[in-house]
Amino acid sequence: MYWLIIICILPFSLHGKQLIYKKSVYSLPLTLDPIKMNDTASLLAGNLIYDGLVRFAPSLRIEPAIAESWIFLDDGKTITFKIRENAKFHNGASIKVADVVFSLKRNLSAESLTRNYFDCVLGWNESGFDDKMGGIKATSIDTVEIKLKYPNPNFLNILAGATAKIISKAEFEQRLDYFDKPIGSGPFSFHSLEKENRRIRLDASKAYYRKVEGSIDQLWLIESDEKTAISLAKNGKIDDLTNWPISGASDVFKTGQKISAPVNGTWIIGLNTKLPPFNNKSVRQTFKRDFDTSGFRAEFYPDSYSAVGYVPPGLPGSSERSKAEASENKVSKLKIEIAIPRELEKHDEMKQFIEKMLTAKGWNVQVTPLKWDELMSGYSNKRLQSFLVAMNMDYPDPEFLYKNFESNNKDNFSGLSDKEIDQLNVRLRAEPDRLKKIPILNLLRSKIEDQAVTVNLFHPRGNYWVSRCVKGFKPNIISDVYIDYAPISKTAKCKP
Amino acid sequence: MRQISIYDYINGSLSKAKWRLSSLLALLLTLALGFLTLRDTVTNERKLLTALAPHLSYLISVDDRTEILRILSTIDHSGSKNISVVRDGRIYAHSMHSELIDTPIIPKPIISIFGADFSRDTISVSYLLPLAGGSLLLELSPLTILVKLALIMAGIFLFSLGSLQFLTFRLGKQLGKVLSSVKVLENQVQKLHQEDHQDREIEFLELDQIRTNLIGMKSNLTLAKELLAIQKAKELNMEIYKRLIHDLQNPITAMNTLITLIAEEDTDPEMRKEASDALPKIADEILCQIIAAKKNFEYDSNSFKKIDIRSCIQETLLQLKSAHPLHYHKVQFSVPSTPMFISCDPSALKRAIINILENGLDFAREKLEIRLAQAKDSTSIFISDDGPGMDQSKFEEIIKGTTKSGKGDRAAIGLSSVSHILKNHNGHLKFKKSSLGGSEFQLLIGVV
Repeated sequence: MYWLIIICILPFSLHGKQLIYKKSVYSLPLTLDPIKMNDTASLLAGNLIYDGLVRFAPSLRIEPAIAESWIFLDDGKTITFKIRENAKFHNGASIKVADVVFSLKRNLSAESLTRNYFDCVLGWNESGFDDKMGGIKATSIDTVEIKLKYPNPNFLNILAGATAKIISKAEFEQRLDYFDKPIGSGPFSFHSLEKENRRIRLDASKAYYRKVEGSIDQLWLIESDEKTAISLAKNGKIDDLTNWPISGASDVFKTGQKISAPVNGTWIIGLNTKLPPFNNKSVRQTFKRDFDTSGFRAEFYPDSYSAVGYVPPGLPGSSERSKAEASENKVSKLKIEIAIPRELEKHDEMKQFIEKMLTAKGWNVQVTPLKWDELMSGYSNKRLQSFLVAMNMDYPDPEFLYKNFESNNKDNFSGLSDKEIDQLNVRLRAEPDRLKKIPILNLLRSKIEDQAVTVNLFHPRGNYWVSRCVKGFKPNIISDVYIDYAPISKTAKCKP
Repeated sequence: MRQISIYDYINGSLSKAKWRLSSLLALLLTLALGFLTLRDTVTNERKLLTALAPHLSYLISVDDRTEILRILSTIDHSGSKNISVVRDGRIYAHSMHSELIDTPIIPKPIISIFGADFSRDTISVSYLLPLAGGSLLLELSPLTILVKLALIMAGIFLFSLGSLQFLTFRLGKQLGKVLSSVKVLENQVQKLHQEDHQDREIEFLELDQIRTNLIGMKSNLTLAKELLAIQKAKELNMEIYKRLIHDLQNPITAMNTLITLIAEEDTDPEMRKEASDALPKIADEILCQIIAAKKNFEYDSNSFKKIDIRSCIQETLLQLKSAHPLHYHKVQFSVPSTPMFISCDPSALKRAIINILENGLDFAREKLEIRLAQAKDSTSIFISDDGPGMDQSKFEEIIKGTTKSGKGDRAAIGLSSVSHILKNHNGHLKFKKSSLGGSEFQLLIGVV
């Protein structure tokens, strides 16, 4: 009888105790609207909540997601996607072609921060999208066709990126607060945003089409600074520090698991060409030359890769060394403010290092640690003279990074306006031949290096810390945004 | 040629030693197959690398790791092998583990076979890429895959062996049942008239048919033997008649002559007296012939048996001893140690032997020796004495029955009878001078 009671009670007890995976983040998402995402924190949450037509596997291979298959026609200028029959939104509604067409067109709309990614789509223009040209349309009850102006080998990469996500058209049209309580079709559904607790709670989606062996019931994204996050991790209150650029030598790795892998990212100090003294190319070039990037790397991220250019290693055109030199020695006496993220554990040490190093070379520099949202705001509004940021990639192609320097790109943090660079970027995107892309990339690289709009600090190697209770974690070489959390398991009873 | 029963032969064929040998051969065959599979695997992987090399070389030269990773993961979609591209001593791209990228490659070959490097946990096939940087493409097949393959092969081998053992065991058991029935059949053939079903677990129709046929055949053979014996007896009797007529012709002619001489008036009285004296002797001779013939008629031709000649001689000697106790001490017989089987009519043969022995006892001074000898197709009894002997020239005439022996009527009549008996045994009687000084008779008995 005693055993019978236990057997009857057991399932209810287990059901009541949910497995919660706690991931530390340096910021809660600034937006949950995919087309407005421009920061890693938002992209990370977006990639968990939403799904696209296709997705990146850990090996970077393009895998089916909402589209179960696709076919290229018309010499690569037409792509037809077949929508998965069992694809559902988190509210249980089936994903229709109308949702797909609606979501993709939003990416091309004027409000989209990523609209330039889609400039190859038929109907795209500088001011908006001419829908009549039929660039994006449903061709049957379960197929969507996208027509391109020219074959773009990167187009599937763009669709697999964290911003080309599918949302529910019906819900979006009914609710003004759609992105406050978003409905997606990704592996986790939105549960709640708890601003007072500085966390966002996500539930493992029961409607998710992929049947994986993950055992997480909830995934929490918990905002803190790096120091707090590490402390929580050491105490077993956090399962995941992968959002943090932790040095491989950090003592946090005395606990938990250390998984180290390269990341397609780059750390830079961006220089705003719209504000003095960096509106002067010679000043930028001198500043870039005077910045001791090797010393900075050795001091704070010794296991990262030395940056010889803006593009990280392992991407076409990355191995060419920059030949750009300062045409004249022009140290500005104007005060230069460099904003750095306050959430970084060693932001004070960085401040001291940079100020000391540049002051010694005659620069009037002040390093200001800013909260992430303040920094991003200044970055977007181009109010900052200079800023330390980690540039992550939405898809693994140098074209993504070089787009940052296009004059018409909303994400052009440097404010650079160079016709030659713009033309080279257009040529690069339109060139389907990999071999022919290489000289364009090299030329673009030398032009950008010559403009000296970035001080290339280093290319990071991701040192991921996860709890010992975590199983099935696989890093993603693009960035931590694309880490697949669906198959991750957590052991309830383990020593973290 | 070695003779063995079917049962023993099959049982012997399934011996443990033969099973061990078969198992060992099967194991060696499995190992050989595994070896060939490994060689083919390495060759195929090398071909794959050779095919990939030009495109990968180009992608390395333009630093396109993304595309390399995609190609490697597509090839290695099943995860059965790891492929990595190595550049400047570090892993540039890896099909399975991005965390290995940019880590130094640690060479760990233990042995190289078929151009592959075998280490404790991996088998590596490498291919030098034709690049100025000297990049190297390595294909690493986890040894665990091969271990799994080996385990599967071993499993199949053991399962097959086990199944075979079980089936053979069952087969052996069933064969045992079948062959035990054959054994029973064999026993039954040996003693055809004994009905015995108790030893048989299963009654097989075919064997029962054979059994019935054999029993019928045995009955027929017995009948045929009896008929043959009757026929032979008739022939023998006819021969005895002929011989009797032949043997009586001379004495009766002589008796007729003597009676004529006695009856004729003008016969010389002296001659008549001689004739009168001779007449009883001739009558005795005729009587002897008739007695011998009578004994021959009593001869039972239907009594051929397989006997040990040693026991036949010994029984005969016992008879001789009781009949001639005073002279028996002369007899010397060394009994051979091994049995000497012959097919004969024992009573007739005993009579023939005793005839010769009695003659021998009559004439031997001190010694009457008996020896036995067996050849491929015959068995001989040698009886020699140290008596006065007999003329060799007379022997043939005595045997033919045309004359009397110089040593006594009985002897001549006996020799003739012995000769007849031996002829009925596909043999004959031989005479020669004995090394003891007297006569030596050889009673040669052929295969009947």
